[in-house]
Amino acid sequence: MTGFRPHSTPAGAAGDPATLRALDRSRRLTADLADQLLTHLPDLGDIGTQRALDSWVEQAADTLRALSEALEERLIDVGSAAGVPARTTQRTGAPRGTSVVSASPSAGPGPGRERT
Amino acid sequence: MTRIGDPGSTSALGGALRQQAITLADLVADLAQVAHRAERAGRPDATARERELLERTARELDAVGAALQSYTATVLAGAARTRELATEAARADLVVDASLVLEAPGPSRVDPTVRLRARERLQELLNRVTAAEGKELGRIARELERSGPALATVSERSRLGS
Repeated sequence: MTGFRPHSTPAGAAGDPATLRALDRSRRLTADLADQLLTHLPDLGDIGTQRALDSWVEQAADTLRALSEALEERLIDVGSAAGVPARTTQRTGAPRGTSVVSASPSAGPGPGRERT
Repeated sequence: MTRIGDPGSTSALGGALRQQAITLADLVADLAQVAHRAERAGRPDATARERELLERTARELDAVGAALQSYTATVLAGAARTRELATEAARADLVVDASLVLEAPGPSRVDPTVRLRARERLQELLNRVTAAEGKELGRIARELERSGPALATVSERSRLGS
């Protein structure tokens, strides 16, 4: 991400560990869903509709990636607004399975129930 | 009649999209629960916009996934029905070729009048199969046409923070 931060966090919303965990989990899952979507190779049998579906799948994956980025921005904002610099250990698109941001020792992702 | 494609791959995508929609809805529920707890503690809701965008995306994935699954079910049912009609056609020395019922090549012992009536009747039944598949394909096309811009808007809003 650049220095441009369009995702302003409401004053006083910063640093809640549960919010950080939920945002972190959401960020990771939406990125995973985008990747999973692109593994599908549907064959509708109709050229016109097939092209429309292929384009839609690309758009849906882009939307999921954009959501992941927005969630990451919010995560960083909430963490850093607490006065605890967010520590980024993994960004969107990096290998999955590790935590992203921990604003405090207790703010790491808890036991997830990630489903894919 | 369109080429039948691969109903398995289409069904798999449809199912995956609907499952992804459920996953997104679960994320929204998690974020909402945390936000409500924060509000009860006197802190503002930090994720209202993200929840709204996730909800919109979930709706789009579910709608297109449902259309794909419905199409797949119709195609599979149509294929089964076409096989039945082909068996029936063979008894009148007729063949089903894609969306058409045709006279089989060579001489036939079937009375020409009976054969003609059978051909007309079977063609009408086959037309219903073809129409059902075309209707479902049209539904998919409409959903994609509607949903694509909706998702593009979510992408834009996510990146602009609006």
